[in-house]
Amino acid sequence: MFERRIFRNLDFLFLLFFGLLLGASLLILSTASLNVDPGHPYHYVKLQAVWIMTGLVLVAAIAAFDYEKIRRFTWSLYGINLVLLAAVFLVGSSAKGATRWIPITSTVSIQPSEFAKLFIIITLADFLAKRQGKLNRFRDFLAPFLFVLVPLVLVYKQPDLGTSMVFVAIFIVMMFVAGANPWKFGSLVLGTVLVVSLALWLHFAHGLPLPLQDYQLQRLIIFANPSADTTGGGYHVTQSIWAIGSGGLWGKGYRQGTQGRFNFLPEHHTDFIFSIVGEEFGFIGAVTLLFIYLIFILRAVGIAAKSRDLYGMLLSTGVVAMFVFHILINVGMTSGIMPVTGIPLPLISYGGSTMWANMTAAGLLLSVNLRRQKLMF
Amino acid sequence: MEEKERKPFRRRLRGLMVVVFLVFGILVFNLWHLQVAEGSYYAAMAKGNVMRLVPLPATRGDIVDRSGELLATSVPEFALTLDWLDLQKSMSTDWKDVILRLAGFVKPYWPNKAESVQNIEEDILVMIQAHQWTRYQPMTILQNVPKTLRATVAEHQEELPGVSVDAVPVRYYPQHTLAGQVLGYVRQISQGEISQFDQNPDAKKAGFRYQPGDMVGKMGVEKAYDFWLRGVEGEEQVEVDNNARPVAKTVLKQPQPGKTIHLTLDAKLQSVVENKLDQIIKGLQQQNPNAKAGAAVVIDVNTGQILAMASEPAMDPNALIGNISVATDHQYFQDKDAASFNRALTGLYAPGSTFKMITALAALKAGVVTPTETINDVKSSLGSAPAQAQGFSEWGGNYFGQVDLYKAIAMSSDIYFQVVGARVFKANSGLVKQLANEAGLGEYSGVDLPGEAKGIAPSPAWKKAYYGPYYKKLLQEKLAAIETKYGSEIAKATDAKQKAKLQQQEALQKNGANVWYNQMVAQNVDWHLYDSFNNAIGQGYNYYTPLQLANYVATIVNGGKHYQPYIVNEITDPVTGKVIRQYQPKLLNTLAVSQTDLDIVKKAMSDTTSYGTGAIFGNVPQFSGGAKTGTAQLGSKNTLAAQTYNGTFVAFAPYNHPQIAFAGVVEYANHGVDSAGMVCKAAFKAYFGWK
Repeated sequence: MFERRIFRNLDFLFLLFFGLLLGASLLILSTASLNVDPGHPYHYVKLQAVWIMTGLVLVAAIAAFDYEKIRRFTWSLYGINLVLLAAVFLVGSSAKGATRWIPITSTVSIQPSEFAKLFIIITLADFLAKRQGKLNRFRDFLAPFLFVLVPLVLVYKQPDLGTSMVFVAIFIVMMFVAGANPWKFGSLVLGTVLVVSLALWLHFAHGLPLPLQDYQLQRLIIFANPSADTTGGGYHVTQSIWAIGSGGLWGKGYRQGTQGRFNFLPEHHTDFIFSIVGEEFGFIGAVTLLFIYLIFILRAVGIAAKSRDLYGMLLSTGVVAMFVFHILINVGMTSGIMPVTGIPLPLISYGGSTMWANMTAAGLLLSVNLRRQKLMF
Repeated sequence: MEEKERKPFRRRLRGLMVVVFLVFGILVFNLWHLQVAEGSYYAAMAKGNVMRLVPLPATRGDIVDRSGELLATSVPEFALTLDWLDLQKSMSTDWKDVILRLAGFVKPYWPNKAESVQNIEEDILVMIQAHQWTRYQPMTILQNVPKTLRATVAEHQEELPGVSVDAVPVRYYPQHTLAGQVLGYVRQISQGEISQFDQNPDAKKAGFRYQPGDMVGKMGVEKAYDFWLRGVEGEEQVEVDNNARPVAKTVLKQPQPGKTIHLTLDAKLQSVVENKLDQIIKGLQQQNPNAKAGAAVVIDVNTGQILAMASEPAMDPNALIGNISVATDHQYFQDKDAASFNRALTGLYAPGSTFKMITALAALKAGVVTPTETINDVKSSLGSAPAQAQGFSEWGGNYFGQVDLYKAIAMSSDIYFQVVGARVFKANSGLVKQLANEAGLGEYSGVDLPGEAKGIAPSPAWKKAYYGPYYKKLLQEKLAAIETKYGSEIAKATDAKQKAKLQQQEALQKNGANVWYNQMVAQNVDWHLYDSFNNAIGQGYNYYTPLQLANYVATIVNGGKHYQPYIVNEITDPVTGKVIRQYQPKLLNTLAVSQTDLDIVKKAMSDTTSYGTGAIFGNVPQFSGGAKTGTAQLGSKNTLAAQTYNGTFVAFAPYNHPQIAFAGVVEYANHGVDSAGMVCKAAFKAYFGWK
């Protein structure tokens, strides 16, 4: 089933930039996680290396696997996803006011919402591919919407607003690529944005009750004005902006940043790792990292464009949507133009679940890439 | 998928790529804004997070007497401290183990003896908790660490990383009460004092500004010379993390110790004066429990240097360091006889008969008496019956016969000085005040100690200026009240007849007020014969400090040279020994009296000690010099306070080329000679080494 000739299809540039991101992750973590576990400066780098090594095996396995064959298990995967997300409520452990983890052993636990994004991409791709050319009416949008809504509600209830927003982003992009009528779908999306904005405005101005947690609203307020509260909730954002801003053009140098090293910056090896990049490697370093991401994303779009079938294309664009949205939210959050949500920087932030989920996504892209449309000679 | 089928998807993917570029464009633009456009602002904010400047205290300078004897110094008080940086650096052991071990070592020295090692460990952990936002500074675990514990800590240094015994300079006055009020004491500056201290010319010149929390001298030399004594604080830059834990330290500036202040004071003489004063007062207390206070000053007549300055009750500045009890607060600040009050400098006393030399000099200068003119020592010498009614009889019912100037001073004749005083005030009403002022009485002496009192040297013009405005104001208030009252009534009046009646009434009342005013002025503002009598003998409005009295005697016996008294001789650098500033005698003015007249008064003062009221040096054969005794009534005539008297005494020695002058006051002593006089005798014997 694994034929030699398909290696000729391999997008080496994609693979190269994928590797660059993984290398960057270890390099950045070697400074960012230096003081997280006092006395064990390389603890997190070593662990991350383990996640990456095992993840690479996963990537190879998935790349070798013909993605078409997953289609048979769409509904099973959809079911597993719901079970895992529901399991969080039964056996999950809490951290910082949210229940997102399922403990496996005393020290290892997994975060189903990280994998839920993949399950959504895989299952929605099949769901939409089957409806090719049948997404022209408003009522055609209802079924895919409900398809995404069920897991979305489960994630939202954890509560994890960030990940549920990722679902929305994935849904919009995949619907668009799958051929949903752009005018009708576009106006629907725009209309929803307007209604949500209006609801938020009514909430803050006139006390309209909203199904949002206090801390989520608080984050939105802080997002609007971080300097209003530099020691409480605005602390993260303020310290992060100071870290990035103080990096200047060239940065303070590797392991020379003070914001992370002296712990002014919280979560600086996970969600706020980009602040360390900004502080220690400056504008040049931050833009270099974004450039690597951009090439990686553009190659992924290229893979989508050359995919064998619509299913492969939807898989790829779903992954692209996930990566781009993560980058936008994470980098935006650390530099103060997006609200704070617990969204890690894909393939860079420390974390086993997120690393494996994102590497699996990259593996799916490779699988699509290896089985691309045969070129006409 | 066929190529034809692919086309719409390609278009949509191009749309997706536009979105991707847009997202990255926004992110890059925002980063450029933060890092390049506003980078320096955020760099400053981030730097503010980590940099702390910690002052390194400078050792306060010593205060020594004229021969170098130590009066105030800074001694190391050993404190057991914990330094986070060093504690955390010890990777080999858990820092909490270090605390437990430390708790074991300090247990025998812990303030609460009942606590177990575990309790002490908890106490220390609580201290660490409380200290968490100033962790970049070492924290004190135990103060006043004894030698044995210091040795223990040194022995176990390797097991106690971060623990050290630090010497903290603490003010110490080794002679305790000796010259306590002159030295002053040191405490934290109060908010209101900051601007006051900033006015110090030396501080201003150096551009030094006091900060809240600074330790400063609160009185005496400690206050006046605070800028020199305090030295220059050093500065250490400490980098801290988000928990204020130090991560690196750099000394930016080493502290410079304060300068050494050399006083003009003679510690041995000071000690003699204080002890004798204390002994006299303790003796008086046997009869009168109110007798608690007194003061004495010894001054160098040729320079104005203060050789001794004592004030009872005595003050031990050591008692005013750190927390003070309510009892201490009362003893030193609240009580009527508060010990922190320097009576020699700030206490105002009626001089009594010790003032008579001024009256004598004024009379000689005005030419209203000759040294040989005698006056019969009876009350009728005061003049007519009404004049007599305004004066005093001779003190103690004495009759000294025909009294000339010498005998008048020697026996302290009140009749003679009332007669002569009345003549002087008549001939030149301002002359007594003028000469008193020229000798430093009733004027700020300009001594280099804070808080001196000015006192009052009276004259008719002074009385008018002092009391006149008060009655003037009362009159104006009365007149204004009358006008308001009738103003409204006249306005309300309907017919012209009633109006005229009211106006007449108003005029009548105003006239009454003016009559009252003139009466008051005649009684209380105008100068009367009894004022002349009173003030000529050192009663009445005369009020001076013991320092002024000593300097006034010095001025008379040194040939009329009025020097500014001073207490600090020189300032030296404690490291190099170099003299930074040398203070010189400062001649303020000369007394406008001829040398002949000065010699007459000096001779009369000498007669006082040979056959007069001050003949107390009989058993001191080497003595030569002069004196004047005084008994100052505490209240005015016909009051209860008039029954009590302060004893005053002034003196100088030796007779030829006088060197030192003395002035002393003992409250409730009734007579000067056996109270302040005894202090003077002890001082002179000590100074000249007489047996």
